[in-house]
Amino acid sequence: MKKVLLACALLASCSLLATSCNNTPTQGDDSDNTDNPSSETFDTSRNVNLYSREAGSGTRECFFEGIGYKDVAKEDKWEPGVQVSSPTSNGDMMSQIGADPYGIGYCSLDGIGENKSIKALSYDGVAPTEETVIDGSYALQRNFNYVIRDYTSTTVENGEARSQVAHAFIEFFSTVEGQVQIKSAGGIITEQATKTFEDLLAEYPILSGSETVQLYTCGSTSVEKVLNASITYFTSNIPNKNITISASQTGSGAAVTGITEGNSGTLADIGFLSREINDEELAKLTEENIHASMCVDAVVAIVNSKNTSVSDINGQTLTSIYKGELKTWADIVSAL
Amino acid sequence: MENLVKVKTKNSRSKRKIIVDKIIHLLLFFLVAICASIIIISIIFILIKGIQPFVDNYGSDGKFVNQNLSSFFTNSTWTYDGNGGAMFLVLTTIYVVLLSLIISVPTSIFTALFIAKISPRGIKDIIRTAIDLLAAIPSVIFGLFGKGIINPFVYSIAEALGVQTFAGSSILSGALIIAVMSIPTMTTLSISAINAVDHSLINGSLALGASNAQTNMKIIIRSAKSGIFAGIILGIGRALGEATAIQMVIGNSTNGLNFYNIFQPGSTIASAMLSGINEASGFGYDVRFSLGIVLMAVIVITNLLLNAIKNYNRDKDGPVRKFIKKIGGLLNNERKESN
Repeated sequence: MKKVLLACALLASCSLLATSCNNTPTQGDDSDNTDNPSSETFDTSRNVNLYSREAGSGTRECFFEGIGYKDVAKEDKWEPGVQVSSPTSNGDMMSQIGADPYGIGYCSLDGIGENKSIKALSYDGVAPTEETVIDGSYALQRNFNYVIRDYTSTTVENGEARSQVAHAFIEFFSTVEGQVQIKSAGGIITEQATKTFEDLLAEYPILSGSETVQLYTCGSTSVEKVLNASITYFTSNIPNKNITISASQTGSGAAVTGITEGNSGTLADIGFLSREINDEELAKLTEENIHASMCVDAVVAIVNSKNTSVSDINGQTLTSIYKGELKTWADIVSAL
Repeated sequence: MENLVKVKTKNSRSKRKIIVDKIIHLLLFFLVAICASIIIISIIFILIKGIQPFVDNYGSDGKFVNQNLSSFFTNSTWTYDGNGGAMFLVLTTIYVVLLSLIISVPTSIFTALFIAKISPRGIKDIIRTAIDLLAAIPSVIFGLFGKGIINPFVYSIAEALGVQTFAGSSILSGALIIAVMSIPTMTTLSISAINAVDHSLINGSLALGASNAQTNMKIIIRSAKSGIFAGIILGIGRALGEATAIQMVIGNSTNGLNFYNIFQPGSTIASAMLSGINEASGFGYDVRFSLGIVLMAVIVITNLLLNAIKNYNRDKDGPVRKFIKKIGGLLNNERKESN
């Protein structure tokens, strides 16, 4: 009898736990939440919660240099007393802003369209879309750049073949087929290509041969999506099946060091950056290290979709927000 | 003749045994040497790498960049430009662990008591298996659980109290998640401690007319104290070094001493090391080893301290007793002098 009673109690507590678990996660969603009045109406007297990617992120550098708050572009040198939460990826940023009605943050334009819980803000009155990025009217944009290894000054095993394949691969970015792949992965193309994949095959006979070549890429994680789409198309559409390209992306900072000094001894063939190459890095490069832009990406200031007070923002206001001068949403509305 | 042969075989057999013994001895010694040297090599490696940022020059173009020693101990912001201060990370780490202990210690002691003494056999096995399984869950799963359930929970608590949070990413969430993570270790060790309590003590207590509840609280828990404490020490060890799960829920704010407000985001030593490590290179990478030294120092010091407290009652002439006596003596002297 006792056992039965205990078992019933256990079952009841389990089901209680299960129902309470089901209820709580929906707090942050945009579904109707009747028992929580504060989530229905946006209270402008509440403080602004600041979100920023971690130090070293290429997205962060682009955002803060774009709005003109350079002090914090690379380091956590916030004003005293300013609390900033640091999501560690684009997706993490979007999910946290989506759960926080009073948060403000920023992320890459790619992927925002599908997310209903966040709202992208216009910058200087220009909405972030593919067209405004291409014509240059949307200011917060950055290039995805690549830089290629210098095969002449360093001794490489199978150097000539690797150099050929590496050059063919970067030229693939400016072919019609390559641009389709980049676009499908969220990259934005500013200049339409005329060269086709057929031309590329004719230009580089090694792609139709049978020589075994293994290439390594390094650098930014932001380009990973675009890069993986390109690699898949490139390696599966060339006749030479012995060519493989493997991507190990860690961060923009690893791009130039990866092809000049190498990470743990092995030099990579192509490095990718989600920002411009800085002077320090340019000093390490020779003329053989070809570097150029692959496609364009935009960084967008985002707020929660429940936030009705702001839809357009400018660099000056964003700087004051991240400096902690504008503390509440009402302050921001009056400053705009 | 027959005897001789027998003796010979006996001898060669025992010789072979001796040789096998020696080989096994050597093999075991070799394995121990590997184990020990891995620990020693990794500690030496971390020490060398961790001291490097204080000594070497990481700047280029004639600029001198290295970790400033005084700001490492005094600055209340963690940055990667050489002026970062780690001490506030230490304070936040200890604070988060203390908060988690408020939840995990009573929970695990009473769970252990229930499992060992009160629950009927069928339920006992089920709960025990569940707790053992809890100990085997990887920390990233706890991190996801924290993001999906604990953060919204903390957010709704804060909304109800009228406090603003970063959607629940806060010190409190961090404390809750490590409380959940350290409960299995503490409970398992507490169960064995409670099971080891002498039955004559329990029977004696019951025979003297104490109720079951009185016996459980006053006899069993008190006698199992030292074993329970060992469990708490192990749990704290796990909590201090936890990185992945904490980093996913705590908000990773590295600006200033803000841990007194449990609804604000913060950063522990381990989460600061983990956050942004993918993009780290050069100074930013090496200075994480310095944080590693700090973390190891914190863990060693806490363990020594807790062990000293644990042994406080047992050794009448232990170092802690002596220390406290000394201080007491000094205070008494001062009081006498002032009188």
